[in-house]
Amino acid sequence: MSILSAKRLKKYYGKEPNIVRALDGVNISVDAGEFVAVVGMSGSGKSTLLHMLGGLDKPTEGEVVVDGYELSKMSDEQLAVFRRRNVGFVFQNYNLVPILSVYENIVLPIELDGNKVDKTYIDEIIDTLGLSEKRNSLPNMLSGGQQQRVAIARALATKPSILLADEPTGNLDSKTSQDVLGVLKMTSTKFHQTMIMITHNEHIAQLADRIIHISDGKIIREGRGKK
Amino acid sequence: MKNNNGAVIRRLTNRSLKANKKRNLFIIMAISLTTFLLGSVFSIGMSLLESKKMEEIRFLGTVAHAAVGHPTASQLEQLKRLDYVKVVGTGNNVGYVKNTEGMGRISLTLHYFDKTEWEKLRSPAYTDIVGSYPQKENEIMVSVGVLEKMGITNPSIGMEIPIAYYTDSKDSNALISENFRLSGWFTSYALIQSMNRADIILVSEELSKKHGKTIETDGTATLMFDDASRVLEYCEKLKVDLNLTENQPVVPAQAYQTGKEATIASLIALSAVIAFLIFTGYLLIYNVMYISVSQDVRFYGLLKTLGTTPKQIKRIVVGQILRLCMIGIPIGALLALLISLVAVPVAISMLGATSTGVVVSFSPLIYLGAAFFALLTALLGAFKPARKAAVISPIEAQKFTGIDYVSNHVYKPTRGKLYKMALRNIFREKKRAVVVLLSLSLGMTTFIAITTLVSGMNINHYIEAMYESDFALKNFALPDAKGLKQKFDDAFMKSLESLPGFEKLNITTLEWVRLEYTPDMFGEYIAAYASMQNGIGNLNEEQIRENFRGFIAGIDGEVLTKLNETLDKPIDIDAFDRGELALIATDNPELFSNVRELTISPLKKSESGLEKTSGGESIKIPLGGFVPYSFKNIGSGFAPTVFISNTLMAKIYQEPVISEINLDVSKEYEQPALNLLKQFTNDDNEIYLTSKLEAMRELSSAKMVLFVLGVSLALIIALIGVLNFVNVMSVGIMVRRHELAILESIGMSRRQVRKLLVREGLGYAVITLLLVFTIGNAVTLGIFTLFRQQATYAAYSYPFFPVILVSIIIIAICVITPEVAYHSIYKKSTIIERLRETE
Repeated sequence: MSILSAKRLKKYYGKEPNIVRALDGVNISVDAGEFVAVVGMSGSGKSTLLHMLGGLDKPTEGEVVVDGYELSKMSDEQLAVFRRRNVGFVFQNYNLVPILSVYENIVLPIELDGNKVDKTYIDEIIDTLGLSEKRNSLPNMLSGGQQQRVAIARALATKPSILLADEPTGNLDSKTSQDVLGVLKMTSTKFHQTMIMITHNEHIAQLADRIIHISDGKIIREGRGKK
Repeated sequence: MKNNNGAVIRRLTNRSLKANKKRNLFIIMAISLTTFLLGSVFSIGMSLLESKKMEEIRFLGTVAHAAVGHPTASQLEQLKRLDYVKVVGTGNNVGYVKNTEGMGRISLTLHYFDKTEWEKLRSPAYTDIVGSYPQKENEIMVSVGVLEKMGITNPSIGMEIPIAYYTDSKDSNALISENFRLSGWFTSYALIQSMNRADIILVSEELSKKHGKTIETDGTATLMFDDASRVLEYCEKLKVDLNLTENQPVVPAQAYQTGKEATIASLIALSAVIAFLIFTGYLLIYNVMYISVSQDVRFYGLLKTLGTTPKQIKRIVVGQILRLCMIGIPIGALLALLISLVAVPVAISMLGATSTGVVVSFSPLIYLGAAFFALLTALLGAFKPARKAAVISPIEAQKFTGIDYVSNHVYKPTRGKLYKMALRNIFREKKRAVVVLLSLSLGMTTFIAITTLVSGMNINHYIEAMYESDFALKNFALPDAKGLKQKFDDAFMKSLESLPGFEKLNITTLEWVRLEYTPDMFGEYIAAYASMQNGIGNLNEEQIRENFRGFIAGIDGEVLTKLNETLDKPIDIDAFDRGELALIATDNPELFSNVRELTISPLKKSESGLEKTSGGESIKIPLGGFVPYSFKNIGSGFAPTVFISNTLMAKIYQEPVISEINLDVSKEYEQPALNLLKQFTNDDNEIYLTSKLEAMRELSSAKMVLFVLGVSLALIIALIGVLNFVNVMSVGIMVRRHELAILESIGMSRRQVRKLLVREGLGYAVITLLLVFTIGNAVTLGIFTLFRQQATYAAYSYPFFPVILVSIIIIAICVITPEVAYHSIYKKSTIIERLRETE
């Protein structure tokens, strides 16, 4: 069953003759619980695709439907609410809120929504990610790998429909990268999480169920991961 | 989409506040300065208003709104029942005091007030009340002024005061002499108000009853209405409601007779000042907040990515401002309170606004008003930045480095010229640069404007305009049955001429005269006069002719010289001196367009009123021109006041009474002459001495106070501009540390980087000064021209020294700020570290 689908997705920047076709007619469909890797070179349009899928940016043409929500029809206000309820983000540069502690960062999307925090679930995530001892630390007191774990925990906290990871290991050394990828894979399996990961690294992409190759804003090839 | 997310928004707001300590400081300063300035302005305004009101009340001697003459007992009962009448007090005349030798010509009456009248209506208008209202028949309560006239400077309760009085106004010979006991005293302003001519002595109800006085025959009821703004309307209503007769007049208190034009003018002025202060405060708060939001773009973008809605983000930004207001506003209000304790009384008394003492207002309105407008300023300032934060695109926020590179302007190459790069840096963010330049120039222009105004208040010019001679001696004796007393006799004049350094003196003589009336010549004048004075309209031609009497004054021709300079049709002074011309004192010469010649009949005052002088024949004199109505402050009778030369006066009246002497002495003798004149006129309250020298001294100190107050105000406003610059400059350098590191990595030396930054600062200074010296100076000149229309004595002089001083200070700040900011980023790290730094 498809939880995410994009049809004829186009995103153009600028005007002729300097038009940039970041996305040029992308069709994609992701099933619930699936782990998809999007691979491409720098400037291939993979980040733009992720932004469209996460409701961070609006396409020039085409539609994105996530868990039944048609994103292009939503206002800025509605998109914000949609994101905090349905999308978990993990970025290359962690993007933790520097003024909030680890725990506060993790529960931020829940609290923004005005919901009560499910303590047992959050504690489980924190334990799984090995962050128990750092609960009350501020982000700048953590190593890169630890910060990315916090970001993963935050992305999982609202039990989102999809988890979007944009080069989650781009800023990490190879050992820490392995560690973080392992955690990502393990948690998404454990919490039955749909996940789309962007990377330029073929090797990392092999961890996914499905690999989508993108170049010049178009899907050029699809294949299965080695697992 | 209402939900329970208040806690997390609050937390984000508070944490965000904690993370921006330096910015908070700037905003708190901006808010408290705005509150302080607004509070001070309101405080001066309110205190001025209340002092004026108090002055009015004290001069009136009552807080009543109106009075009804001779009300009957049933009318009094009715009065008390009327729903729009709040307080009814009554009082009646008991007798007339026969003056003793030292009391001069003051007219004193014995008066009784009932309890309501005294407690509710009268005593609030008096100050320093000691003792209590007379209860026993032989008790009296007297004003300090009257006690002094009686020669009592050190009163005590129970002391005996002998008074001779009569109770029938028509029979002043039926004197009753009695020894009264003083039950209390108070300070009233009746004497000042009446120019030492009238006051009352308060007596008990028993004394009033003893002499058979009643309210209906000898008294009045005074009233306070429920709405002070409807006094005139209620007065009309009373006539109907009480069925008042002809001899029961309803009189509104003087204060409620005049219109509201003055209030509207001052309201407009006040609004302009408030708008200006709000604007300067807004410029700073807006800029600081805007920069802060720009710096936190990543933060807000991230929050948005995580699902914070635009509304929630606005709440975070506005919430920060509100919390800062909670600190800034009380500080500002407290400062304003301190100022109103110290500077406001000085300012008001120096402005010479009141003569009955300064009332410093502590009305909560002042502080609520200041707080309200400061809050408004802060919210206005936060509004746009909050919007900006709310619409930040999460994707762009990720790429944000603190600087907008977006520009559709094609630059000419800088060729490595530092000043060109500096200039480009200044206008990189046009809006920000404009706000800073506006803020700085506004501050400095205010400073120049205030300095120009204050230093333009040329005391010498003012004194020259107000005083025509070094000394003036005025005959303040009241005319009695035999006319005006000749206070300045030959001996006195001789002694003046023998003053050290004596140069010259001019006299003004004053007598009564009857002018020949024809409707042809004076019809217009009478019509205009009747429109201002009731009862004239009913007079017939014959009555007008009979009563067309007034003053005639003699002057020396030379005192007209200065006046002649301002007249369209100058007066022929030689002809005037020869006695061939007469002048009419009026501000409306067109009323006398048909008058070619005046026929005057000299009058002398005698026991039975004004009479023709014994040998006085009517004289015809051609009209030679007009002088202002207020010339020599003579006033007028029914007929207009006529001026002729002193020689002619002497011819007509033999020995005309001298009403004023203007005396000049040579410069170095002014002080000794003043001392001697004071001796001559000491203890004689019928001679009023004014001295240019003394007036000059008083004004000098007043000007000094005004200067200090004005300049401090201007400096505070300028400070807002400086704060704005310092914030923009130092933040600008912090944000660009990465860019500066790039410049250094490609071979720009530290010295060059510093030079670049200092030039940026200098650029701000130079542009500001250019703006100030062009537009700012033009504005100042404009304000001064407006001011001059009010104060003709003002002399324009550009305040070069203060302007140069402030320019140097501005330049210094503009140079030092980038230096300091650069050092603070330099201290920390190497080029590589700075290049690596992203957050």
